[in-house]
Amino acid sequence: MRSLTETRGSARIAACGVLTALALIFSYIEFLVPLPIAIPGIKLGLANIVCLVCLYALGEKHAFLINVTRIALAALLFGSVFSALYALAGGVVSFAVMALLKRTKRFSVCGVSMAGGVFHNLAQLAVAGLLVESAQVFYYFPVLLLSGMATGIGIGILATLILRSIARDTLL
Amino acid sequence: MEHRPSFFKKADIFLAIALLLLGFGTLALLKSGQKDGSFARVTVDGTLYGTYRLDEDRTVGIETPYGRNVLRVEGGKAFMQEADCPNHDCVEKGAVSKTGQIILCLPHKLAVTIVNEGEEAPDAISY
Repeated sequence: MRSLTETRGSARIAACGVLTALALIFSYIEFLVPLPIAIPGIKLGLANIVCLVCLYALGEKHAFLINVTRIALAALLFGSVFSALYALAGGVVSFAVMALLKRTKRFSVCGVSMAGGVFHNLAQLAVAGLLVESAQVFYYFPVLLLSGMATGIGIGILATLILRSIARDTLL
Repeated sequence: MEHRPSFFKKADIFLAIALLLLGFGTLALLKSGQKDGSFARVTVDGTLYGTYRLDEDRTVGIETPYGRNVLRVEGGKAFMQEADCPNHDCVEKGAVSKTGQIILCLPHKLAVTIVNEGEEAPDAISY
């Protein structure tokens, strides 16, 4: 019995597969049950729980690969070319921001997640702005910034709880 | 990895403040470029449907190949009064009056943009 952080080789590959599947299920839940809010772009970001836990427990490389695989699979299974473009922009930019903030070691998981949520929304707005060739979409930014912060903190709290359990117990 | 990661750190507060400033800065920047518009320009599928003065109250029925919308111009503002689209985002958007503001009805490929005198012509051509 070894903890997730210490797993090597095939055990780690298996763990990555399971975590990718879990992240995909979170994506699917959000696709099935959209939030009853009229503003497009606001979502909980449940899959980011997995991304955060991976980032802290497995490292940047594995977390990035799990996240990109999750986005690609979600687009293939229940998305479209456009949704993949939005999701990939949001996923890659927010991941880069979260990985950089984590490296500074100054911020908590919640802080990292909060910034990730904001930059996820910002990247998606930028893609929307490019697609419709209009800067008007940035009127949504303050709303999406606040929602990104709120959901990011919530997801960060959940991820912290999970990381505490992983530190105590063993997964594999 | 820390064994009991804390929920919040002091630096998180500065991060939150920095993000909020970014948001309000963007909003202030966008607002500073805004002024009251004088026309509501209606386009369907990217082609000009009509341009209506905001200083004359009126109700405009818009028949698109995709469905029907009713635009109401009142007191210098324009809002979508009725629409037979499935989501009614355009009706819930509310009133617009500043240049650049836009009401979209995506199911009907309809856009209502607030413009100023002289601004509508080049835009209509670039579509």
